[in-house]
This record gives sequence, structure tokens and C-alpha cells, in this order.
Amino acid sequence: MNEELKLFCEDVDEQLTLMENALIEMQEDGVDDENIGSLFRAMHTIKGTAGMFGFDDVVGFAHIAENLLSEVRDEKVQLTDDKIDIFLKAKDHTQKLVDMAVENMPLDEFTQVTNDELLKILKSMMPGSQNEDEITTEPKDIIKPDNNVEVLWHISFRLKPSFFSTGMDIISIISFFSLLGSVKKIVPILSNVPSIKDINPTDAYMGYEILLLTDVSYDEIEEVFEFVVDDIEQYIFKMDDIESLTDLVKNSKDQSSLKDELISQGFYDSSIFEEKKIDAKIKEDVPNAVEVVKKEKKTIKKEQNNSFSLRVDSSKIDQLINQVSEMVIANAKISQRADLLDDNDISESATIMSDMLEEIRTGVMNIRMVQVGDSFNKFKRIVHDVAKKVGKEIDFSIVGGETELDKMVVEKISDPIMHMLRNSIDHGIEMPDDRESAGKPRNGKVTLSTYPDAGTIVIEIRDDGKGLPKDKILDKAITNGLINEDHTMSDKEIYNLIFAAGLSTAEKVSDISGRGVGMDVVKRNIESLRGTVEIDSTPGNGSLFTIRLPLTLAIIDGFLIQSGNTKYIIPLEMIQECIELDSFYKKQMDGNEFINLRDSILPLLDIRTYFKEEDSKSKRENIVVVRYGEYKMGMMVDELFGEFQTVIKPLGEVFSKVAGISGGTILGSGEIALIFDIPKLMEQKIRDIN
Amino acid sequence: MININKDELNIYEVESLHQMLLKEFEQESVLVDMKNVNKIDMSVIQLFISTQNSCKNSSKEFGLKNVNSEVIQILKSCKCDFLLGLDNE
Repeated sequence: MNEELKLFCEDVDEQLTLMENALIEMQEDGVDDENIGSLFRAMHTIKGTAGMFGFDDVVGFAHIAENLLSEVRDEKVQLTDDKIDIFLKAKDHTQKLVDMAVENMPLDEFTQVTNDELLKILKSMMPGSQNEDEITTEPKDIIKPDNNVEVLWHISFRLKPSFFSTGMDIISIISFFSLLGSVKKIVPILSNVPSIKDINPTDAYMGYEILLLTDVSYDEIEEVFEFVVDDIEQYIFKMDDIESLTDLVKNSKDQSSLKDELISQGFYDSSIFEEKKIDAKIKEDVPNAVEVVKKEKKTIKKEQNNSFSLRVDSSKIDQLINQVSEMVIANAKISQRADLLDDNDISESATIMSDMLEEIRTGVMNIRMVQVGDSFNKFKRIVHDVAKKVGKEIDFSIVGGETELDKMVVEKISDPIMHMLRNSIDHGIEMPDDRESAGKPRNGKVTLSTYPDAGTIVIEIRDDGKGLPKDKILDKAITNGLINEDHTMSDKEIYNLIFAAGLSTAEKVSDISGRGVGMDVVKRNIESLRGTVEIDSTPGNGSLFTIRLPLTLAIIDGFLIQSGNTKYIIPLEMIQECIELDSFYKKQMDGNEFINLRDSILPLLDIRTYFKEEDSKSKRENIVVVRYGEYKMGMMVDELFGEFQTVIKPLGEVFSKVAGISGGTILGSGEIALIFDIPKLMEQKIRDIN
Repeated sequence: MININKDELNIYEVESLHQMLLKEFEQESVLVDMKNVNKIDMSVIQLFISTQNSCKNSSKEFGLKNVNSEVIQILKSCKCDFLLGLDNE
């Protein structure tokens, strides 16, 4: 797929998501102007961009939807719940049409029938709609409006020098005119194109004069230039509008006379110019009112465009992150060398460089960060559809949508969340009558919350349904041989068994969930993002899924320690404090792996024993207190070196089975340090304690 | 003759194409073999127009050779098919 098509697909996706969000919001909170505006803009934009690619089916469909939305916006049609459902279907259908157009596939029978049916319905909603049988679905006919008065328009435009840098395809824009009506004349203006020796090939010099016979309005013609309005100079006027023609000729900056060109190309008879005594070469010093207004309009536009967003291929950002990562490693080497040479100047420069690299790193990482709410809003539609399908009533809310997370993580976490939401609705929330008899409100409550916590992002899915069937999970796990009958598992551990492969306790297999596959895949997907998931449940009160994800995937702030002969990195955000394991604590331990830290019991993990390290030469032993979620643990280590910008490098197959190590990093000395997987180490410790 | 070995000629290639055309312009004729090209954009068309005009003013020959149907269609749709030689039309 070429770059333009990719951008088109992204744009359509964005517009359709906005449309869906607006529809769902109006379904929940009632109709409002802002959301209606969003719907209209989405269809309008899709129609315009699809037209540039010549996707006639998309243009035709979007045009009808846009027309109806225009009537809704003008309050001539009321947006009822039924109509919102139709627009939701129209949104899905538009996506389908776009997918097929992009794949260059003809409409299959099913899509064609859906297309025809939806068009009929949309048209029947128009005020004063005609007999359904008279409705045609040919895109070119659809574009024709109702009044049938054809006008000959003169469209004149010149590309500004920077036009090509916009990436817009002017040829597609020109081609689009033939969809609007009959192009009577089209002439490229070449007089401004310099010679081969003088041309700057990346600057644009050309322009076009077009005569278009059409019954569409001025606004609809102007819309063709919607995405390039700042990068061209355009005039659109009726051919009999001599005043505008006068302006056009008078303001022309073409190298040759535009008047002569228009006459020689047969646009106008020379008598028209004689009557008005237009001389294109004489330009008045005082700009006329039209010009002033135009200039003012353009100034406003420019100011509005001072802040803009830019689409960048994510691989370019990944590349930048990799390069910054390599610089971090190289700088660590310089720093190490400076220490060895005891050179204060180099050491100082390396420190400054390190600070700057950290700023660059944060800046680059921030480019990738997006608010989760933008992506999570799509779940509203899914919840709405699933609830409708299973006959349940759900109040769904998203909390903390402004929380930022790496875009790639947001995309990859989407499927697991969707699966868990479906599970909550399908199995967690009871039927409305059952809820009522249990003394609960008829509407089930499902909340998707996101918040940052200790260097991680927490995503919670909470429902107020019936909770997980603990006994059934146990029975199934014992039957499947996952655990023994004489197990000593806590309730929480039992609930977390649902993440084991092949364990579904659903009594009925529905097309929404309950096939026994899924939750293990959910867990695997989350773990592939270096995240964790756990579940808690209270019978009769509902369940809570908690996903924890790292903020970033490439570079972290780490804390360098040593145990035995190996250096390790602990993610800095998880560290609460470092204390010396002195004789006082050693006496407390008395052979156990616990200490009393300010009146609370802190379990300890001896890294040297756990990873079978050699004895240390260090005189001092230390405890690094780490926290993950609600758990705390002390890690017994030998040396503490301090903060270290850690570039995460994946470890090979050999290390894949080593629990507790999530990756490696290269130190300035060229040594390798292993990065602790704190959640896994804690899990192991808790299992040992139990 | 300049042989283009690209499937698509666009703004990203237009500067190097310009250099090739400038070099060729020192000869008596500027001929471009387009047999491998399936798509061009307006920046390339504009450069060909510039070259064609410059050749005309210096009494040199300019020609696009072996232009395939996709490119012919693009040139026709933007009314720049005057760039095509008779053998291509």
C-alpha cells in the first residue's frame, strides 16, 4: 500500500472513530450540536478524501449520509435512537466500502445489498423523500443534487511553490471535477514554469483554468480544495460573473497574459474584455475590497494553523529511539573512561551529555505517548453492541482517559481489554430481572479505569456482576490436572487460574465468549508487553481485572546493583528505599527471610542465593525495597552503584526460561547487566511464602 | 537516452531526475525511456514540461519513449499529454 493510501486509511479510521464516539455519546446523553457537527465533518471528510482516490462507491454512500446529516444539523430532521442505530450501521458500512476500495475489490453481493438497503433507508429519512423505488445507487447520479439547475463555473487555481511538500496529489483533485459534473474545458497554465536550468524541481509553478458545467453548489466545488486551501491560490465564479473575471485577470501574476490565454483557449470571447476595458497588465496600486478581504481571510487562516499535528511513520520514531539508545550506551562508555582516567573535564561533559540525552529521550518518548481515552472510546460501541445482543442493560464508563501510554502499547492492549469487557458483560453481569431480584439496580455497571502508579500504568476493568464462580474454577482446574485436590491456594490465586489455557467455566458457549480459549491468550499478550494481569472477585459483588503495563518499552531509568559477580538493573520507579542489612536486621532475621521494617513485615529475596551467585567480596550487604502494586519486597544485594539510564536489549533464547530476568543492557565498560523482572520475582516469592 | 529504472517517479526522485535531465540537455536531444515507470506525479510532469520548453527554445529534441498506458492516462487526466511523442499516443 502506498503512503497516500496509508494516510487515507488512517484518516478514515480516525473519522469513523470520532463518528462512532459521537453516536454512542448521543445515545447515552442525548443529541447535541457538537456531536452532530462531528458526524457531519466525518462523512464530509471521508467523501472528500475518497473522491481524491476515485473511490466512487465510498463517495456515493458518504454523500447521501452527509446530505442527511446536513438536514439533521439544520434541525430539519430529528436524530432519534433508531436513526442513531442506522448511522452506526452506516459507519460500519463505510468502513467496509473503504476496505474494499483500498484492496481494489469490487463490491460483493452482500455488501452491494447492504449498500442499496442503507441508501434507501438514509434517503427515506430525508425531508420530503421520494418513492423508494426511484432511488438509484450510481455514485455519479447520487452526487447530482435535487434542483437540477446546471451552471457553468470558472475554476482557476495556481499551485503555491510549497505545494508539493504537502504530499497532496493535485492530479486526483483535478480528476475529481469530472465526478462533480461535466468538465467543458481544462487548460494547464505553463507560462510560470522556468527553464530546465532555472527550475527548482521541488517547487510548484503550474496552475489550471477549468470550465465546469454542474448543478452542485459553490460550496461543494470549494470543498474539492478543502485540504489544499493554504497551498493554492484559487478563484471560483460563475462564468457570467464578469466582475470576478475582471478580478482574476487583474490579479494574475502569470508570466504571460491570462486574458490572452483565456481568449486563445476559447474560455471567453475577446469582446467581454473589451467591454469592461480590462487590461491585465495594468495593476492598480490600491488593492480593491475583494483583495483586502481575501488577504484578511488568509491571515486568519495562517494564524489558526500555527499549531498543527503531523503524521509520522512510527518506524521513524523507533529508529530515533534506537539511535538515542546507542548514544546513551556510548556516553556511558565515555563516563566510565573519564572515571578511570580521573579526568574531571571529560567527566563533567559526560554528565552534561547524559542530562541532555535524558531530555531528548523523554522528548522522543513523549512523541509516542497518546491519551488512552482516544483509543478506549471505541469500547463504548462494543459494550453497547454486546449488551444489546445478550439482552443486558449496562452503564459503561471510562475513567482516566487522559492517562498517556505508548501508542504501540495502547494498540496491542486493545484486544485483551476487549476480550475482558466482553467476558464481564456476557458472564459477569446478570440479566436485568436477576439483578432486580438480587436487590441490585437493573443496569449493570462496568468501569474501565486507567491511572499511573509507580512507573507503571494500571488499567482496571471492574463490574458489579455476580463475581467469579470459585468452586467451578477449582473443580475444572482439578479435573484438568492444573492443581491437586489438596491445594492450599488463596481465593485470589484460584481466581487467577482462569488465565490458564483451556479453562472456561461458562455454562453456555456464546459467540461472545466462553469457548475456553482467550484468557490465556489475554495473559500472554499482556506479558509480551512486559505487563501483568490479575483478577479479584467477590461473590455477588463483581470482579476486578487489573492490568499493569510499563510506561515505555525501550529505555528505562534503572538502578545498578551487583550481587556476586553479576551486575543487575532494578527499574528505578519500583524502588522505595535502600537500607543496609546490618547486624540489627540480621539478628531479626534469625535464619528467616523476613525483617521488621518500621512495624511491617518485609519479605526478603536473597539475589545471590536465588541466581546462584558466588560469594561477594563486599563488606556491606544491602536491601533494596521494591514495590509493585500492593506488594513490597526487599532484595538482598551486595553493591549499590546508583541510577543508570538503561537501554533495554532483548536476551536470546538461552535466557527465555530464566524467571525474573526481563532483558539485558550494556554498561559503559562493555559489561552486560541483567534487568530484573520485578513482578515475576515477587510472584515467585509469594508462591514460596504460601 | 536516460533510462529510468523506477516503478514510480515522484517528488522524492525529482531532484535526481533534474540532474540527469540537465546532463542530457548538454546533448542534442533529451530522450527519456519510461518503460519501467508506472506512475508519475505533478512535480515530474512539471519538470518534463520545463525540459520540453527549454529544448524547444534551444532547437533540441525532447521525447518520452515507451510510455506505458498508466502514465499516458495520468498525463491525459491532467491535460499534459502534449508531452507524449506521436509514437506513444
